[in-house]
Amino acid sequence: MNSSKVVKCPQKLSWIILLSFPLGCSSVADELSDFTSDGCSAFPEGTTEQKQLWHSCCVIHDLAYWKGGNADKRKAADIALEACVAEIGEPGIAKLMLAGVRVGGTPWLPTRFRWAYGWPYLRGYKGAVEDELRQIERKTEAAMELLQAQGAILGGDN
Amino acid sequence: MNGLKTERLAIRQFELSDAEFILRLVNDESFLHFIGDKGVRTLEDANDYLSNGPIASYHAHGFGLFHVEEKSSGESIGMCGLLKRDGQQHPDIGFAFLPEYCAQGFAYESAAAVMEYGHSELAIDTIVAFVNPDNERSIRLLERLGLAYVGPVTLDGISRKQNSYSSVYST
Repeated sequence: MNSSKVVKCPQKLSWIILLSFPLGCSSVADELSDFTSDGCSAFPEGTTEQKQLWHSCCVIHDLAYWKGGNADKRKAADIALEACVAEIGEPGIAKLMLAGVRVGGTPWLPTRFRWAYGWPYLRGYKGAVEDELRQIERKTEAAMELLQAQGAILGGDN
Repeated sequence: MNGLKTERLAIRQFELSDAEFILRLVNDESFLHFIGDKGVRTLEDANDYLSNGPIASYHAHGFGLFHVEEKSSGESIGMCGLLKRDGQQHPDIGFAFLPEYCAQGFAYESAAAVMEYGHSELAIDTIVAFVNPDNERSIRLLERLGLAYVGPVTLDGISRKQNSYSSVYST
């Protein structure tokens, strides 16, 4: 009978447990900042005659970048930006913008326009856990109300 | 109509089960601003809107406003289609999207598919559009679709002053 036998935890094991703790906590929710948009970042937002012509395309693109998500979502957001700018008759500029965001929007550089910029840096393409989904829903609703009040996304209807 | 597919969208006829989506869409701020108040306040109103609007139009003309779904998410995102108005000689194209799906090129993608459908499947030689003069984005979109400015027009009596655009296909 060995019920009284004490098994000592090797010191190495405790270090392993300590080191792996942050990974074990990956399902803990991060905090999503309130939505902000810098429009088209360093890119012009319209023509010389209509200076805000594709501003709304960039704001909606920013909304997707702020929320983040997997790489497919980023690609879909970039394609939507291209389609939006092309829709208003600027297909050449749309292609340039697509190329710009595919390269410049990487989540791995600490820019203010990186993929998932609403979350702490180095979130990468991580999906949202339950509490994060609630944050996204609540803050997106607030952002949409604000954008509509500002008239930033009006104009898609005929 | 068996449904149209584009790169990102699936377009089909409306069904009464779309009433909840319609209730939200026609009460959206941009819809009210650019298109008008349809007086749809309840699910029952939305059912009536679908029955007397798009669904009645399918029976009467073989076309109407269609339901637009984003293929990747399966979400209902808007509507796009052809309308035949009393007193107007030609059908006109119309579209509306939920705000979170605006400014992503879905309007052009769906409208181009509907125009092509109207021309090739329904043999419609002229499609027009009516647009609020301050709706700059939609005006540019119509021009990209190949429609040209015709002149001002008043729809529904004196309440809606619109600009008229026309696209004439040769058949």
